Amino acid sequence: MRRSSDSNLETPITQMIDIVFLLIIFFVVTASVDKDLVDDTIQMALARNTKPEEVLKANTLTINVRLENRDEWRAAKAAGKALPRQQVSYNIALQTKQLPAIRQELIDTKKKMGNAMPILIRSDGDVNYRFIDDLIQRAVALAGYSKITIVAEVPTD
Amino acid sequence: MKKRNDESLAVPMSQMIDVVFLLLIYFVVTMKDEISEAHLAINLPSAGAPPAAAAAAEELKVIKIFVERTGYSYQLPPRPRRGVSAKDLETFLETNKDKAAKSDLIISVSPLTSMQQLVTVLDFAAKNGYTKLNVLRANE
Repeated sequence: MRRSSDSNLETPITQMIDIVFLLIIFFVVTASVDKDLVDDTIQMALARNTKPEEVLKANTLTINVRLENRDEWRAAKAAGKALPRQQVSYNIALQTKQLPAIRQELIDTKKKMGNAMPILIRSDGDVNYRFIDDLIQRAVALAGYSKITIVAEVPTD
Repeated sequence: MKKRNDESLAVPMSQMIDVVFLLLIYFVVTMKDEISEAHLAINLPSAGAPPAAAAAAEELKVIKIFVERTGYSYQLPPRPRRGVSAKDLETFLETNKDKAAKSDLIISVSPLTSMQQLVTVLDFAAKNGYTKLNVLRANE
């Protein structure tokens, strides 16, 4: 009687390993190895009506525009105080760069990949347009590109 | 001798389960929620301005939108409207949806407006089928 009870209490190792391996395979497949080294600290502007991109394009160059003093800026805005001067930085693959360096990278990329490669701009939603315009005028346009793609977040609710 | 050989060939289950669980915990912890992204393509202003006659002929096919800190304005000749809300702008773009395929949308953005305001316009335009989107900086 005792023996029968013991055998019922045994952990079903085989089935458990099956499930665990399935889970691991799922995570490995969906992990998609550091896609484009995206700057996760950026809180992009929201686009509620546009369809989200189902498949992200492979050959793209993403320029991240980060509002460094976002918390301070938002706090001042919420309190109705005078807004502090925006401190904005640009980075490509998490490497902070000045506009001339971005322009050079765009020129080099254009030589290798041609004009058709999409240039994506991921910017904080609070960033003033003048910083994007600086990026366009002093880097993107000078490198010879005539189109850019602005990335926005599609809310899931 | 045979028994000993069998023993050494046995899979070391405990260690394997340890490793497998470590891997599982790693992936669960590092998994991030995917953010759904919308890609809004725009044309940049070109260096050369079109000749005056061509510009006048093209004028009819152009819808101008102004994004300012205080709100939005739009101009579909001959009816300019200033200081409208985002909702009004959305209604305007929806009403003129039939012109979307043929019209150039020129969005003139004031330097001190936020990217959210520009994205709002691009979002309405994409929703209503406007594809020729041109963004330029307005003079303050």
